[in-house]
Amino acid sequence: MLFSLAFSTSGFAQKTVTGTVLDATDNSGMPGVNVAVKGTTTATMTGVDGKYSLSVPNDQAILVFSFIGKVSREVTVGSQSVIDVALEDETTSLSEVVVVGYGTAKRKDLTGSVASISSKDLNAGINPNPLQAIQGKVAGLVITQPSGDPTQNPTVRLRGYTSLAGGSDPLYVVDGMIGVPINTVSPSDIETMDVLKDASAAAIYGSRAANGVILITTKKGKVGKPSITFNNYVGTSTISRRLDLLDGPGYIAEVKRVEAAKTTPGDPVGTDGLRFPKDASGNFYSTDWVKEITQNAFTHNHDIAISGGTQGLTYRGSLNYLGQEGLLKNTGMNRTTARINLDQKALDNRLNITYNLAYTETLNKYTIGNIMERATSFLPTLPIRDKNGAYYELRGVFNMYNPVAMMENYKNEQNKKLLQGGLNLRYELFDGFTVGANGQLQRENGVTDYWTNPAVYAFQGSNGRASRSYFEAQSKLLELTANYFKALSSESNLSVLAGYSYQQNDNDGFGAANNGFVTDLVTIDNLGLGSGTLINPRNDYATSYRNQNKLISFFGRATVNLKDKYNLTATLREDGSSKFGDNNKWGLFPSVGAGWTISNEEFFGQPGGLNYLKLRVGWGQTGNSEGINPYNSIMLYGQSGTYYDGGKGDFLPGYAITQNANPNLKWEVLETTNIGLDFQLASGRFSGTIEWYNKLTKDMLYNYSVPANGVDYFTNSILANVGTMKNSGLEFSFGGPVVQKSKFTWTPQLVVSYNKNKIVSLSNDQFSSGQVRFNPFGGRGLSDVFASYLVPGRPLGEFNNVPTFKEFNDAGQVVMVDGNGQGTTDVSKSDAYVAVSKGNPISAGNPQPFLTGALSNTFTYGNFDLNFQLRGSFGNSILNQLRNNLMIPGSILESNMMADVSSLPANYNTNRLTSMWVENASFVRLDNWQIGYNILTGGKTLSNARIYVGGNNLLIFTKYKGIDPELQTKGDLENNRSQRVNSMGMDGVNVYPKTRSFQLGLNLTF
Amino acid sequence: MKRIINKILAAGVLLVSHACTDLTEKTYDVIPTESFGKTPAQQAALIGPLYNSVGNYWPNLFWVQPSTDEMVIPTRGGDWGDGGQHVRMYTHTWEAIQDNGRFNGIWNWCYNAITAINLQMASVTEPSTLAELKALRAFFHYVAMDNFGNVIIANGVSSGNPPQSTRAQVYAFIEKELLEAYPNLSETVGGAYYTRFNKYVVDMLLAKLYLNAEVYTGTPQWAKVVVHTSRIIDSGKFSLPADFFSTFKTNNQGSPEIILATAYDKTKRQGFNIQMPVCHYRQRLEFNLGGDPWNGPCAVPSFYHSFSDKDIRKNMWMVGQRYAADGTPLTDDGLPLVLDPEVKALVMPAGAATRIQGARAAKYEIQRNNTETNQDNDFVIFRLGDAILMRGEANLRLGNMTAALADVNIIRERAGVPAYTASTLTLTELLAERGREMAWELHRRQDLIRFGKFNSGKDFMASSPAHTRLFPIPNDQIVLNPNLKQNPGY
Repeated sequence: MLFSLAFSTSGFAQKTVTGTVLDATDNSGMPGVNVAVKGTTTATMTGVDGKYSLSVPNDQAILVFSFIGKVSREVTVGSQSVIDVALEDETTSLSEVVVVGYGTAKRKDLTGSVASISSKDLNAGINPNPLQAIQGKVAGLVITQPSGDPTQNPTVRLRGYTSLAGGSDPLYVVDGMIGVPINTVSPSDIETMDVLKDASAAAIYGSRAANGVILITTKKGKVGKPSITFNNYVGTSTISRRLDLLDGPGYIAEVKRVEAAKTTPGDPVGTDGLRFPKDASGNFYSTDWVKEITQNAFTHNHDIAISGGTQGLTYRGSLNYLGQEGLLKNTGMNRTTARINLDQKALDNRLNITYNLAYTETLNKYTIGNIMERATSFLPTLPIRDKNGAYYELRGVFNMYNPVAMMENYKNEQNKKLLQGGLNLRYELFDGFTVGANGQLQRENGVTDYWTNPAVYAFQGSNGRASRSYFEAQSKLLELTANYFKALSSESNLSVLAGYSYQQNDNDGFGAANNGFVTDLVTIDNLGLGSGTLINPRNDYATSYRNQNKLISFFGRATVNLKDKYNLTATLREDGSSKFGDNNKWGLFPSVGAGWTISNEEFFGQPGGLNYLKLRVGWGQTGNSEGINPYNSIMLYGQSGTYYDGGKGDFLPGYAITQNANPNLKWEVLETTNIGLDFQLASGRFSGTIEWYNKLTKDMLYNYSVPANGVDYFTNSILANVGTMKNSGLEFSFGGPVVQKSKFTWTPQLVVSYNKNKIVSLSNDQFSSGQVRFNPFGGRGLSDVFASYLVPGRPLGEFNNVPTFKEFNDAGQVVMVDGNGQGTTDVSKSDAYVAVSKGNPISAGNPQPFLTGALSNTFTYGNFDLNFQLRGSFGNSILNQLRNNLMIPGSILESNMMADVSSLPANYNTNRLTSMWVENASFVRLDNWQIGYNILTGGKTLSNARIYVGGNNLLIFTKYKGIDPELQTKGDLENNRSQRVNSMGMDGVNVYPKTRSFQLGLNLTF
Repeated sequence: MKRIINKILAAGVLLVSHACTDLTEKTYDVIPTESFGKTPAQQAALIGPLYNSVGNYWPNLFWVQPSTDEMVIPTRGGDWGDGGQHVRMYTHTWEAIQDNGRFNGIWNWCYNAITAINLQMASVTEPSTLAELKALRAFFHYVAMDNFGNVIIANGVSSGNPPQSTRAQVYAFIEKELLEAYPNLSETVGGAYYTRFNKYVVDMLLAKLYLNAEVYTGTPQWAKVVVHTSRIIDSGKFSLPADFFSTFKTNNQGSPEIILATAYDKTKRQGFNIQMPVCHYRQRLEFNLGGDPWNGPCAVPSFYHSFSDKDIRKNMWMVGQRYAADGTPLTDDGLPLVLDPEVKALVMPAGAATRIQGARAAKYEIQRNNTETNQDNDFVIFRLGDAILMRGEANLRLGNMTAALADVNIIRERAGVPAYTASTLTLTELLAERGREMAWELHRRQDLIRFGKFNSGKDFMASSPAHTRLFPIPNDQIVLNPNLKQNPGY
């Protein structure tokens, strides 16, 4: 195409055809489109505004419009003299360019597993975070938005849980900067997101690539006149599903039912004026506490982008504002993002310079501890305020606090700023040989303010603690690369890449706190006015920290593509990290991949409309080390509480060894084998991929237990490389236009993934995990009760310490199955406890689904379009702790309960962890949807207008009895020092409600 | 292919200077061990926290007290069910796997402290400090040996697991260490030596060791108990305050009875929060506490009844109607909040009627109007009253009735109860008297074992097998340390 120059052959009977080529995605004029007369060398290119003019030999001539990344169109000239066309994006095209890390490749040449999502494929609806925008789009990439809290980030897990302590999040690379907080990127700035899924694709990122790499390329300017786009929407969110709690009259009825069943019934409703107060006219109250602390939440998003440029310099600048209220009052998120991208070409186009600069400011207003739990349990018979106007409190009743008082009397917010910018140079020294330098700087800082009003009963204990803390995280990246490309023939080529990278991260922060303020007018803003530092000294009023780490890398990649049939890629990266132990500072991460385009073999033919078939096989090792903190490997003195000095008559700070040193500490290795089959049907109309993978985590990082033997260990655990975990799975994605009429189209896209996870080993001859219990089944009388043990040979999170429920006995006690299959009311004799003691626990369910999938649909009808996505998860279980806590008739006076508490025996009063609370959590959700109408104005100034309505979480199909079966299942540790795994599949009483949202939007392009 | 890459990599290495491959960690907020401990103040900051570990004596050992006849944590509805662990503790049906966490906590506490002491002992040369550390290390071995029997002797920093020793070997090691340390220890009591190990703390530790020598080794050492307790009692440096409870007050560090205490402060050194587990939920209003208490441990009914009404020490129990801070009588679910010493069963249904059962301990003064959930009282590990009763017991067992009566009756007198006579002072009486005097001070398990009563019946438990006199070696330790064998019976 580059060699097609704009000239026309001379001839007779010629006529001139003119027209405009538009980009079908935004109806803007497309410059640089090749317009040629088929079968001739007659061709031209469209100008800055997309207009062209071309002489054609006769009416039979066929014009071919082509452009990289767009579907070519052929139009017979006939009698027309003006031919306007709109070019659609190539979705499944094999010539699509894919970002593969330190470079690009054509999709047809790939050997690894790479999924690409372009801006037009992003999910519809209210999705402020890029991760929400690709939820359900990539097979094997499970993205969970655990609650309706706008300040909370989605959890992302690629192809199962592969790590406990090594880090579980993918590596994010935004325009060449490694480690950009994903929630600072506005989805409207994203051009493409490429997900490197297997080791042969990701190993080029070495010791940080095990959880996959997500490469984000932001939108850039195009040659042409300035184009201005506005994108605005407003939205409203409500609680998608409310807990069916007892209301005032229902509560009173249930109290009476429970009393009536007693041998000597009392009359709490008549006698307990504290729990059953009456208003001035003598009636009981009925308060819906959840309603009192929640609101219909509004979201508004305003986005403006200006782009354009000349042949030498293109630009795009954008400004985005997002304001999102939370369902809980006093919570929410505001974000402002500004971004500028400049692309300059110089020195005969041999020098390419890219400048990128982004600034994001985010204000997060967080919820306060356990407020949802308080709202669900506070009695509905209580008023918000007493007759004197003070908050009504049930003083002296365990864990009962007025949630409205809490909601109105705290501050808990963080204001973060992120500046990220850099310069990327590429210079072609001689044909095919390019050297590059990429320098990036990122600085994020934030201030967190926290205060609770001690006048409120719930906050009395903290004495009005006010704190302000500041953090700063700075990252500097320098990458030097050299790239050689040689075309061996028109179908064969060779390329080699070598590079060096240096990244340094510096973190520091400090905080100040005080309490005991005699007024609530200043608190955080004038900490010196508190009396706490003077009256109640402690060692955490002032805190600070600072650390640094460096990652130095050498990397290379060689690719050979032969005859459009055979592809071979090998990569190698050597990473050295300051965080690793002295004995293991450097790690080598190799990968190889091969591809065979079977359909290009002569023997292939086109069986059954199968026009393309490619087999890919890849193997490689990636590392995982983000879970290692600076200084984790060395012997250190740190602060160890305080000690009493009798000479001074006071307490002083103590110094002690705070961790066990591990000079062998290193990255965790993830070894992946990937086999993929890419195929296309019906001349490329439908395309799909089937992939199988096997992932083995070796040298698995974890805080292993050490023998406390008095001679060589100082604390209970050591961060070390010991265990093994395995994940294997199958992925399938398939899609394409099913209906392709001129007025009506329907394009579905299906992705399905199956994964099986197993912990293989947790010990070696030196260390062992020890007995690790997690998934605490909280609630009254359930301290120290855990549903899961970490057991080799079992899936992570399996509910293997849950006694089997048998029945309720006449006394209302829970009867469990004991070790011999008989009934017992003694939990110590239950089947689960006996099995654990014998070393072979029973399973009551697995919180990991074996199957996840999504079906995305796009319909167009004339100028209307409709998008929606069905997303589902199958085979997982949830332990419904929430219902357990709110379904105890015998404890009705201590907490509000679910409305169907009346279905349980009135004398049931001692709750237990049993299989009774294990539920099937499979679901299908009708999630992101949008209906739009494009007004093609064709006007001189306004080139396109689009209005749309859309939303999120319209419907859910599930048998689960809780609020929502889609829970946060992180599968990593509670904190860096912890042995306990974050809860998996435990539905708690304090979950921020999920939202159902609707939006109304308008896009304008000038 | 690989060779090409390697060549390019090699070229890359040459291109970048050494500074670009330097991975030395630069530390900012932590201190490499070799750069600290040089000045006296720095050494003090390293040795101080070793004593601070003694402060975890109370939280580690409090929760195993329901194994005795003085404390029970009944299950009331769901409250304190906690997977059956408190019932197992009370009825001596604990086991190595289910209760690993509780026992492993005690083991880790002892041996992690010992490693830290060993590390400092390797560099400290000043004789009196070295002697203190030696004694401190012996103390942790003593706690481990008393609870688990056959434990590890960790005599210095090294690598690899030391062998398991028999209880008698550990006994001999502790005795040797304490006797070696003794001459270099201070005789100062209080002041700079408050909470630290001086000669009298070591005398008390030796006396405890000898008092239980028959249990530990099979050979009694009663006379040595008399020798070491006498050094304390006759030193003139300790005395019994007339007010029994003054040793347990919020501000108790001045009590002349204290031999060894660990210092607590509600904010500066937190960890003593006995009011939280014991108080009834609504007693938050009685003391105006900073958080909701938990309504858990209470007195075993027959233990409560072993106090006569005249006994001043009986005032440690909170029973009867409770009142809010402003004087109004408290109620619970409409029922008057009258704490009832009779606990009707070990496992009871939910409801106000079961919540009020059990006498609650307030031996350690409960701090009023405290916005924190921790208290200021220092926890007393060794005190003069204990030493006097120990000497009395040793003399009684040696047949020195007159000497025994003299000691025991000092304690009786302060408690306001009639003196024993030669005919009334029996070993059974002495065990009961130790129960009343030392109630909830974490000595009861050892006392019951020494008197052969640990496995005898108590309320809600008929009897228990003899192997329960040792706790199981925590399962985690057995898994991690192949040198360890489980105690017999587990």
